[in-house]
Amino acid sequence: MALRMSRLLVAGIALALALLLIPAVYPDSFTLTILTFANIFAVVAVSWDFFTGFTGRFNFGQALFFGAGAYALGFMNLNLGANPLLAVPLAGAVAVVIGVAFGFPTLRLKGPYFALATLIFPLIAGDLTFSLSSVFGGEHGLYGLTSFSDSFVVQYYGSLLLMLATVLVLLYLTSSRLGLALESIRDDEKAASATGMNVTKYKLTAYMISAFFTGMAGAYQAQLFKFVGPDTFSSTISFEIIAMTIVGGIATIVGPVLGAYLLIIVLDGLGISSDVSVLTYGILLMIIVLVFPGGLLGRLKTNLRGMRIRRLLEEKPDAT
Amino acid sequence: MAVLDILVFGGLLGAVYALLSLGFSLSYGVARILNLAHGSFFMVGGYLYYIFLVLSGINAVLSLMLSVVLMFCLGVAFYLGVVRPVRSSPVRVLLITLSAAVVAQELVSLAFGQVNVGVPYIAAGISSPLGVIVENQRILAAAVSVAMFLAVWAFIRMTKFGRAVRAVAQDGDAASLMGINDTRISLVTLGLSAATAGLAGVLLGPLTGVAPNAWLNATVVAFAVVILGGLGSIPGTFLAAFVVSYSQIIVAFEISSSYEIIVPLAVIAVAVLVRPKGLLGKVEE
Amino acid sequence: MPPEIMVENLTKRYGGLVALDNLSFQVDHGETLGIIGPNGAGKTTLFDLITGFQRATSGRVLLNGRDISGRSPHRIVQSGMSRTFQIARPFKDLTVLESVLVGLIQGKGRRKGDRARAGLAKEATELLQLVNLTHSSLSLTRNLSQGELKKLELARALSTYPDVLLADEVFSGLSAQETNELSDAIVRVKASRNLTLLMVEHKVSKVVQLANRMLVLDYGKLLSQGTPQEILRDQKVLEAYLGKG
Repeated sequence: MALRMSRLLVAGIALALALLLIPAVYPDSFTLTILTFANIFAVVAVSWDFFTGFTGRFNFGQALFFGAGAYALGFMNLNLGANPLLAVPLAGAVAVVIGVAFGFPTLRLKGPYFALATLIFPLIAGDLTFSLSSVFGGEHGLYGLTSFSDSFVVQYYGSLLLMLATVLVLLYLTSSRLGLALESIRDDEKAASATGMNVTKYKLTAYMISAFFTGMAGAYQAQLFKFVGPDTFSSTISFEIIAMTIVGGIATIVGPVLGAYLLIIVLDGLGISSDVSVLTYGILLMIIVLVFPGGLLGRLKTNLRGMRIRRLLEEKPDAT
Repeated sequence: MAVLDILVFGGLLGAVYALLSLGFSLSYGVARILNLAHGSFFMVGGYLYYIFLVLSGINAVLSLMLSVVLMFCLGVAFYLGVVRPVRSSPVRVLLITLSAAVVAQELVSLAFGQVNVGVPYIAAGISSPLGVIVENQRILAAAVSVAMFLAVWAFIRMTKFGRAVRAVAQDGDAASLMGINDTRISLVTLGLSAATAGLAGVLLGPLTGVAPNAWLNATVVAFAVVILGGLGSIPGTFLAAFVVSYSQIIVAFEISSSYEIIVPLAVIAVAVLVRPKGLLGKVEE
Repeated sequence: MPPEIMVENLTKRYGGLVALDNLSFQVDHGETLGIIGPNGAGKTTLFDLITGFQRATSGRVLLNGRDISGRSPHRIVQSGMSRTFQIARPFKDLTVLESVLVGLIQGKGRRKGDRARAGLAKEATELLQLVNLTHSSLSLTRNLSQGELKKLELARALSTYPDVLLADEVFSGLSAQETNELSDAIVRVKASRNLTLLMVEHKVSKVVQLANRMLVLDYGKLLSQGTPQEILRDQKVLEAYLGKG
């Protein structure tokens, strides 16, 4: 059954505090970089969860938004001299636009067709960076970007802020009317439209929100590495964040954070090669789907539901 | 001359695509399993052939047969171990077959490296049908594909088992009420699926080289062919295979070969928007 | 006042099969129209066409004088027409309460006066009380019985505050007691909200009780229409039901 809200709150605050204090305990650049990485991917996983977990539409190409945001920041930084910090949300907006360009015509398609299309989108985007290599650097990508700080500690806190902001905003949204509407779409689109809901509009909204946060994550990574390359569109990223989310718990918003931390700290922390890494993601995903489909934090779904019902029922009546 | 080139290459490729997609038609159209790892059967088949022929020195024909038989067993094992436990939930099937495909890719990559591995031809030399210069291997691939396709089709149409398969495709619940064992049907379906896709991989292997990431393109092509041809229609699959192969060849010749993978996707988009039942489809999606 | 619903020459063809053949009728404000007919007569297809879930091959549907043919389902709901589904379509991973909230949160457009002042909690409670599902409000819909699912269908259709309700075999799968409860609920709702009701039904006995007028469909054509008493005595209707077996 669900975990008690008070205990969850305490756990949450304790975790947040722990994360805030990490640099004091582990000030070495290796640890901080791994954790920064974990935060970045947590954002991508959480935003994926927001769309796929709540609308039930499978997006197999989340990397589209990631790469779009990364390249957007790279472009703005190099050509417009944009301040890397300010450029992050702007890059998120660009990712939304690009996402809509791909998503708008395809969101109306039935499940498997949409899923297949999303698989291909990042490939197309990657191809475009190759063909427009004068602008996007082709296979070499964009070099010499400026970051907003060279301190590992500051970068860590920046990523932590981004991650916490993403989680809080999306938790708020999923425990609101929007979340309820999305879940009804997931459960039965036809029935949802029979309640007067414009299903396509809601799906598009969720898609855009997902694109925004993931785009910011991509942009953040770009300024962190001071570099962006075509591998920001790679299907490996798309796949890994799916694994992180499923392992952590789909449709829980918080689960993907756990999944991201777990997988990145263990795999990158141990310095495991990328092939074995991806292999591990794959095997883990298979095991979880077979045995534990709700994911490690699956019980939190019930808590989310309770939170949402309470909020909706406590809404003040409309004033006349 | 370009027209003849397109005609010949498109046709030869289409035959192999038909074989590749036949298995997907069976698993998606009959067993209602959206197997994203279908292309992995194609990929693994090619590697098995490489293992038998190049690494173990077994002769070509025997290698081919061993690969096909082993693929059939793999398909059955795949169904039992991976698909059946999650069959009740299409989402879980999607996830687990996707991860299986990724796992397969990584395992192969770790074992053999990420690059194309070269495999010698079964049929050496070249011919020139219609004045177009073509490797004999390509002609062999097409011929064997057509033969296998017809063999499986005959099996489905004429044997008692095949009739059971069609019954399940029409109405799974009614079929089980009539005592048709769904597990056995699904087992054989997936086995055939793997065997035919694997054979396609063996046949094309020498021509394209075998690479771990070949599964994605193969899966997308099979999906496009089956959707265009119409779920549940084997003749439809055959026809659609050529539509897809010709589209890909034309795009490769006229525009650029790097856009090849977009073609099957475009085919799916058009098919879904214009005629959801497909060219010859009997089953409503 | 124009009739609330006007169906004009509505035809639906699937390839060679004619599901609805040149159907025309009207429904006046506040009426209860019962629609009966043997299986396959096209009753659900009719509902699908009226509510926008399928497009007609030809003909049109007017709601309060405005042509709604070809409008998407959600806009038709926003125009004040709601439906239940013959085979219940619950939100599988939601609770009963949430199922009803989904319709209630669709904006303030249709909620006037007292409704708007009540707040979601009150409205949801009211709806669930109407169909006697309050005790199950926190149950997951997948744990409900068939009868309870049908009740939820009704509650959900009412959550959009429709002027017109299309009830598709709303009594099927219910026990005798449940049928009576639901029937009473419908009568109350109709009266309190001044609903116009179209009911497709198999339980002819029930329709006869509730309807002002009845329509009989057979093979997609309008076989007969009139008051329940007239319909029960109509030879053609009896033949349609009994003659085809």
